[in-house]
Amino acid sequence: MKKLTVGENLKKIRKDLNLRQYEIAGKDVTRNLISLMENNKTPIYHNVANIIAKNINEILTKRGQNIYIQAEDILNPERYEARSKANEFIFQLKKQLEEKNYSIEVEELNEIENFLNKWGFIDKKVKIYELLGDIFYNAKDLNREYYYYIKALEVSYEYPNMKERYKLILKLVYNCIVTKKYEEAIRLCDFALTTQKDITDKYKCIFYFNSALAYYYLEDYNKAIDQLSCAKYHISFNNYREIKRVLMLEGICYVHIKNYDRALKSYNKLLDIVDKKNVEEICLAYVNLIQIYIEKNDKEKVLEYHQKILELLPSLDTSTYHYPKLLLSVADTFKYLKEYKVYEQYLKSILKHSKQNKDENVFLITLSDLLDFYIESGNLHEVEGIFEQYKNSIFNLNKDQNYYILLKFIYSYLELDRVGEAKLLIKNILKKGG
Amino acid sequence: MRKKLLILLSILTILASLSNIAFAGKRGHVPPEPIRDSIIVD
Repeated sequence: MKKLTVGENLKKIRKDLNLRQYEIAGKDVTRNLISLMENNKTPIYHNVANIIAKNINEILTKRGQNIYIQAEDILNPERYEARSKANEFIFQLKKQLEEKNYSIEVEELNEIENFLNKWGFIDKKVKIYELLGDIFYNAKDLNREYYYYIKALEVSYEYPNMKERYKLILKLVYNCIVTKKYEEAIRLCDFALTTQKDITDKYKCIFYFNSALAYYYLEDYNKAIDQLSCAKYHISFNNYREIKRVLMLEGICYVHIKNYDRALKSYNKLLDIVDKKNVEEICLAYVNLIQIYIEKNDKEKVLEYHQKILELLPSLDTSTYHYPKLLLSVADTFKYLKEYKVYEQYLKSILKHSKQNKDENVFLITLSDLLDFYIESGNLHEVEGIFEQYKNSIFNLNKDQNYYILLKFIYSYLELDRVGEAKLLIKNILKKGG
Repeated sequence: MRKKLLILLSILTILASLSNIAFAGKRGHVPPEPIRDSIIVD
């Protein structure tokens, strides 16, 4: 292929982007100069290339196109040519997402990273890193998902007029909440809400809701309620998904601050609009509603809703996001109702389900509950069976290095047959940890 | 045998107690899922 001159390259860029000479000339250079440069009659200096790139980017921003031309793209034809290669990567990653193929080989990743580092295309970097984040999100690889979204966001700051950056921030917020980085989620929501000028009302509502959820997990219920009020301010009447989640979280927060009337009001509104065919949604509303009656110790009402959930449970899709937590909540109700045998059976089945689905968080919660139950009921022999059944998962859990020190102390006490001290130490550790 | 069981129990309880630290919010409630994107076309 014939190597393009810098002038020919400028003309190619202009034609590719469907621009006229006078448009890229703007106010600082003349159309005539553009013509001379395109025909190799005069060289293109870096400062002029910068002005042209700036003019091009202004037009692309107005058009709503997420393309960012740098002076180097004009001055280096080989570099501009390489943008097509970047587009190929983008096409390939999009295709993988469409085909639900979420596996990426290390070699492929290295090739993409090396390519991006070599050329440093800001717009392509943002797009490719975001797509990689999307792939890892679907592959449930939360660490790498976070890594690529953060990279995309960082690079996007070099891209001043990037459209819809808030959508990228939102993906990061979701990841932060799921991975328990609540403070970071709140910071990102605040950042998006205060700095992203093109953010729509729908997204404002979503950011406020997510921020409220992060505050909820941090147990700052009043702040969560404040954020939910802001979410409601931006909500429109047909945003059912958002309305339902806002009402649900509002109800839960009001229960925590013991404002049961307000909580009931939120849940009743929720039950009015909930999709009657959506078993998960109804169960979710009921399990949260039950918590009010547990707090009020209204056993009759607890039983009423508990029964309704039990009737719906068999038709619930076991692969949904909320399924394990719903089961845990049902198990808790059995415990409240002092039906210990069923409680134990539920915990065992959740343990099995969470292991199969690699849901480490639920696995740990359930294991902890089951152990508490055996300890409280003096049924220590059952512990051995559980340990045997799940010992691989237990040994593979992430362990805090500091706990090894405590274990060494306990081990020493047991070696010395000082069981009392060992027990006391364990009790103290649990008291501080739990 | 009793010693072995106690060691086992201590390891398990410490490991499991980590989950209580990680599990925020009161038990029983099932909060909604965070929202990742808008399903409504602008």
